[in-house]
Amino acid sequence: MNTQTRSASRRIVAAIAALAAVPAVVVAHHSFSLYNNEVTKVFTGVVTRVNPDANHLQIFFAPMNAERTNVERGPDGKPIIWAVEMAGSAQAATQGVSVNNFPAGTIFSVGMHPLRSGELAGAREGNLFKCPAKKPPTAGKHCDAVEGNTKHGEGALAPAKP
Amino acid sequence: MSTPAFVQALYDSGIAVWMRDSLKAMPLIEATHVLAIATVFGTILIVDLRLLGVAGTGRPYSVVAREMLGKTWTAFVLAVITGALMVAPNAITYYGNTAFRLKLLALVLAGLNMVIFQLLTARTMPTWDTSAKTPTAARTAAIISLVLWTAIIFLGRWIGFTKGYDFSVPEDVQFEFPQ
Amino acid sequence: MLELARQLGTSGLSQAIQSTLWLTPLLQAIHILMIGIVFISVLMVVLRILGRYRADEPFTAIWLRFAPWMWWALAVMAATGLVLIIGEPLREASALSFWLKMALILVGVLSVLGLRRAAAGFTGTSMPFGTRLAATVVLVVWIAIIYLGRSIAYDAEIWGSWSLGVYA
Repeated sequence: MNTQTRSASRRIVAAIAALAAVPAVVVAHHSFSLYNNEVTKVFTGVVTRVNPDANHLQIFFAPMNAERTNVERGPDGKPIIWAVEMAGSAQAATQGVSVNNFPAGTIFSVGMHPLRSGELAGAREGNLFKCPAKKPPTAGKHCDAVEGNTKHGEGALAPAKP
Repeated sequence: MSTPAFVQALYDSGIAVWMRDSLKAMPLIEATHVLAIATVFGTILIVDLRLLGVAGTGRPYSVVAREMLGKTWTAFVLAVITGALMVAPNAITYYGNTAFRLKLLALVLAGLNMVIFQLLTARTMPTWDTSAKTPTAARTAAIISLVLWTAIIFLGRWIGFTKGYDFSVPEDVQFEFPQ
Repeated sequence: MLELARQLGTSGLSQAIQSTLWLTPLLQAIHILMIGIVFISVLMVVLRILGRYRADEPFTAIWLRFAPWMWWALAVMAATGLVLIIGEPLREASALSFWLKMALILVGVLSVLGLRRAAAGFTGTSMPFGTRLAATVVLVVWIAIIYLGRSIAYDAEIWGSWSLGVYA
């Protein structure tokens, strides 16, 4: 296909999208049914591990306390671990989310729709921000408020929905 | 959970890395897997329904089976290759997944069912080949086959919904940031 | 259309489907079983036209053997597919793969009916070249439907900026 017809076809697709009269729709790869998309939790946390799952990459992390001085801990004193799932490893890598880019100890912020099952995991919603190394945000803030943060995807951090 | 060496090796293999890094490989291979499984299931259904005397009874069982055999095996080989390609990049996760293990078990049982049928029941085939009325052993084999292949498809779909998470925490991660 | 999908997604029925955890994989598994029946039925009809399956029997015999299975399986697919769409309307409506698949299903069903007309009454082994070519195209259409179905979950990877959805 030459560039001209390609751009013409693109315009047709764009026109169809415009007829639909909505901004770009943000979709997760997953079937939504596993997740409660009525709820958005926003975390700033410390990465413990990245599983580069080819279908849905997961970042495992310990959410930080409100003061951003330590991570939340269970009664046994051990960090509470959550997982956030997103698109497959290749798609995530196009946004700079990879095992190498998010080593253990990385501080980052992300929104997610939690699993309905109650397991401590969710599907990523909105953009993901990484703090500069070892520089957590100030109390109550997220990485998008830290100078020198990096952005992994388009748009803003998802707003929390109770 | 400890990971056996062969699972780790599969996970670290070049093909697994390629699958993890490729945008289009996974959807194309998954779709090919669906096509292959659809063909395996469809052709086995034709043979089993003939064995049950439900459909296709106008032709001898041996003819119906011969017409499908090549298609079933070709599609099965394709399903195994695409399945292996899907497993490799996530081998460690799949290894611990119950639905995945049950699916492999069901595949082994389906194979055993086929071998037993070929070795025992099929020996009497000349006496019932052209008849819609097949022996009980043949009907039983057909029902077991249909149940197992249906289960294989259900379990395959279940894997994606029950992958499970490994929440283990590595040593030496800095969790405290005093201000 | 997407706005409609968004509203449908917040309806009680959609919420009920979404929150029933076992329903989606169950319907998807049934959907795949039905793909097996539809695809193999189309394959057998096409192979008969190509003279590679039951060439000793008239075309109509093969059609009558497989058409009822195909129609019933298609009906079950439509039903399971509809519930899956109601469960996550926005995901489907924002996927270019979904719309292409719906269009190709229409083409696929009509062209199978066309094949029946073209081949009805045929008893010999070798059908005219045009009919055989058409049959091959119909098979490719049904294979494409399967690929597009799987692509709905990977719409942005497959179509890039052509996809109506944006990745989270």
